[in-house]
Amino acid sequence: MLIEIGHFALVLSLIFAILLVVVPTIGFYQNQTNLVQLAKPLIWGQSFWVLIAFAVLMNAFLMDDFSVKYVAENSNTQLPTLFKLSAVWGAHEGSLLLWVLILSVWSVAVSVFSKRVPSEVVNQILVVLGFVSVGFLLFLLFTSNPFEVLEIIPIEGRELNPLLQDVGLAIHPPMLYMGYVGLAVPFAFVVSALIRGKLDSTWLRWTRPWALVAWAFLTIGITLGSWWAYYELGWGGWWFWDPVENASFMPWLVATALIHSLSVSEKRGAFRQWTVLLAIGGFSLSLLGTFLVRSGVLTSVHAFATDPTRGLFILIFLIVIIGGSLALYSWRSVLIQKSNKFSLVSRETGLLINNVVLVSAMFCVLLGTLYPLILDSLNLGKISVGSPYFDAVFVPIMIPAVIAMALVPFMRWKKDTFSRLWSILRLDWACMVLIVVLTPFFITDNIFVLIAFYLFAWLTTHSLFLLTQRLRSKAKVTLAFLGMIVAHLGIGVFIIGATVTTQLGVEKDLKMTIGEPQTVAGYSFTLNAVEKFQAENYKGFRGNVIAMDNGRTIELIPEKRLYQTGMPMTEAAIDPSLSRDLYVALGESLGNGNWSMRIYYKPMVRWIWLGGIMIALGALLAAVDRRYRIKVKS
Amino acid sequence: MSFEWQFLLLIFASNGFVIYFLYRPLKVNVSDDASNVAISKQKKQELADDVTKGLISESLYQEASDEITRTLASELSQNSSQTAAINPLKWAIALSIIIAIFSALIYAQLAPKQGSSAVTEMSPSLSLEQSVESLKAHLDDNPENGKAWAMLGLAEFNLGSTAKALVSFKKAYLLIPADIDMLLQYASVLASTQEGDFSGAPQSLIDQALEVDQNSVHALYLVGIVAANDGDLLLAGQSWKKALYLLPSDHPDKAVIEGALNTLSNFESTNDFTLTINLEISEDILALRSSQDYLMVYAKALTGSPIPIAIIKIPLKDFNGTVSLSDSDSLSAKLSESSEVLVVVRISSTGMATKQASDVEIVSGVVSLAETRVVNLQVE
Repeated sequence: MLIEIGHFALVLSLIFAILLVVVPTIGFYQNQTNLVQLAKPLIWGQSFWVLIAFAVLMNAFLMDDFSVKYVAENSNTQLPTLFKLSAVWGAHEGSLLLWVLILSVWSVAVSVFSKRVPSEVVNQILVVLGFVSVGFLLFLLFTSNPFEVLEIIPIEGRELNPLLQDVGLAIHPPMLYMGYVGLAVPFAFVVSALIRGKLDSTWLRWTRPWALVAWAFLTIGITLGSWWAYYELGWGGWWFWDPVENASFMPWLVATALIHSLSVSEKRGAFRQWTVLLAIGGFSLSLLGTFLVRSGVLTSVHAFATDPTRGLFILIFLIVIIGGSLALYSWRSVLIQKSNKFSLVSRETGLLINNVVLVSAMFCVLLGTLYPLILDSLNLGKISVGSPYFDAVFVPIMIPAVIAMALVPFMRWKKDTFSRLWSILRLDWACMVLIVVLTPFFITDNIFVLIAFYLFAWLTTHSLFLLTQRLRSKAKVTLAFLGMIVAHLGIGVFIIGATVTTQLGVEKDLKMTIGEPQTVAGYSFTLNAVEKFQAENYKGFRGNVIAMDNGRTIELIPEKRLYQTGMPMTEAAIDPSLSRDLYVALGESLGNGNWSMRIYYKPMVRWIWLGGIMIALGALLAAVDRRYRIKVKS
Repeated sequence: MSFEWQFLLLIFASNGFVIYFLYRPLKVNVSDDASNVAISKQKKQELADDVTKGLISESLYQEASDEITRTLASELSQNSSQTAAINPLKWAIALSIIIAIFSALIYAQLAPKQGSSAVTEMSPSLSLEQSVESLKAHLDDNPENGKAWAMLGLAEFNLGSTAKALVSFKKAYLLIPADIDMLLQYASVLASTQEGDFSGAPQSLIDQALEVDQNSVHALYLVGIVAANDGDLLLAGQSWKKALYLLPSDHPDKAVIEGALNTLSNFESTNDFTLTINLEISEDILALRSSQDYLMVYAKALTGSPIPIAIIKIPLKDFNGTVSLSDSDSLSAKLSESSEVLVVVRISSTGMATKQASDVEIVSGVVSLAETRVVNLQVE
């Protein structure tokens, strides 16, 4: 009975979303304010019914209601409660419901936290968000219904994919979706401004904090995904340039460009057209990512043709959203204020270079992601584009952006000179020269690590110098300024972590005999025992490995788990620290007390995620700056 | 309360919510003009702060300030609006009808069409034991339902009654022998009675599942496990690669199979990659050679560098019929990284790198290392 209520709630949510698109729009064109003002109640109603539907599905998982096909396919009675909850978004239908719920959360947040934004603007934004919701609710109800019931109720459900039975993956998708879907808000701001023909200071001002929050969530989501892949997949990697990863990274790159471009557009009235395109591009890439992941096209373009319903729906929706918003842009672009003048050497130019580099990097990732699909669709063969391509193309593109990132905050708006920069930064640059000269003698001769260290030092010294300079002056240190410093330092921390762990990490696949020590990266590892064990919903083997680090004993307990489906899972044992991780994964039994084992030494790997957290924190600090609490008289 | 009444209640609540806000609309907070004016004021203040921070020169301050003023002027000139009143009753009736009719129509279109008495009568939160009883009762009336037998078998297995589970699976097998899920579950339960060993009957069931669908990912995965346990790493690799190819790229199982393949390839490359050469040397040849001669066996590339990829040189007197080449015998490139090689066997009195007039040498045909790791040669 409850399931039918959940299903019906989803239908009511669709009706509310349709009314949200239609009724206020009639109000706009007939100047009937009471109809326009219905936008907020309608988004609240839509969100309420989505929440009810989500709660009903969650309850079905908790109650082991295997009459629901989705529950029966993704949960069973043995599953721990936490994973029953996260199983709600463990597969296609539930993850789409989560998508719709998060879109509702963002929409309600816009309606509640936009008290300083004119009602007409907010209502129009909600209409655009409602339109996006209609698309996804139709997709959910007609192609991916999570409330489908079974004729014969199974007595036990299937196993939730063992990979998903992990705390990291319980929180990674909601965070990533918060970022992915959050980009719908800047998109809605821009589209509503284009529809109204009023691309004024208001939309520019209020787009930025929303873009910053969405970007922060996207950063957290990507960072969590990387962390999860590292410890859960069992081979110690933190980024694989997988198309699914790229699908979230491309919107991140464009959103990074957007938050910088918005700053210039708002403060100096430049790049407004560019900012509009970036906002459209960011959300379009989120939708493209959804299409790539959900249509099956990544497996094979032919698989898409075999079962086209879902893929075709998203493709049409993608065309409507991207095509529609670009058509709107070309129609309304004449209304966008022309850029104010600035000279070649100026803060505006610096931020423009940053934007061009970020968008070029995005196109490089897009090419590497789509090229195999294009070849496959033209029957020109199957190829795989992996890290050799991305490392060779993406990384060099990004180096100028990192160099510019440190310099631009020192540059003046409208016009500046290199001589002025030299006069204020010469001490800093002298330090850098010293670092470049001395580092090879004291740290390492690995050229990639050296370059990373120079970039880290470049960012750190400039950021700290900027902070000192600001503290000495009479000007206030704002949260936006602090956010920028923290985020830029985060980039430096990430660069050093990623490069050092990739270049200096040690990986060994070993045949280990119980009691016989083996040395990896100067650490002595001894497999003491491997014993069978039984847990709530899996069984397996648990190893006991002792690592010796300069007389200090480190106990590591890697596991090889066997779930009901028969799928084995490697649960790596990790001894973490900021300077290095020791990572041990138990492989297969080789007989006679021998086990295959994978041992990694990962120097500074934690800096990767520390950098990610700092970047997200910086964005959140900037989003809550006092300038967004401006008083507007009614 | 019946379905219909509950749905009516939800529709009624929805209508009430919308009608309330039609009659009591939310207040308009601020106008566009007020917002733009406030933002422009703030921007001017920030511009003045930027002068203090040295972020804009004093000479350009006035120009930037004028730009903000001009922008504001252009924004204010765009406003024009006159509010028209609506008839809330008319809209309340229209919206109520729309919500009621469309929600009912869409739900009717999407709701399950079957007589769902079986679904609604059963409690969704039966315990496993209760469910087994319920299923047994169902099977008393429907003994030909193979899927139900398989479900019963799985449930009994989960309850620890492996013997009963096997009986149920056997019945299921007789009724639905081509059901892949059942075949693989049956195989797993059988294997559990053999300490996880899939050889024998479980393997036969997996083979049957593959006959039904040679692209069954789960079956391919199990074939790989069986092969790996048997030491047939080649078959294990082939099965897992095929399973990987068939899985959608975002499928979480992909990572598991990639992990298995990764382990396999690392293991092969570091430990187990060997090319075994079974060599038969005729008595006539042996009679002609000295006990001081050497037997040199090496693998070389089909074209390009003549330098052996891997080589073994042993005294002929130590030869026992088989020679193995592995990565540890590699000179430059690893043997495990080569795809096709030629195997050369030379009996040499000098043991020198280049062939001498007195040496006897034979060369194999092309050996594809992806297909075989054993080469049989004869020296006559």
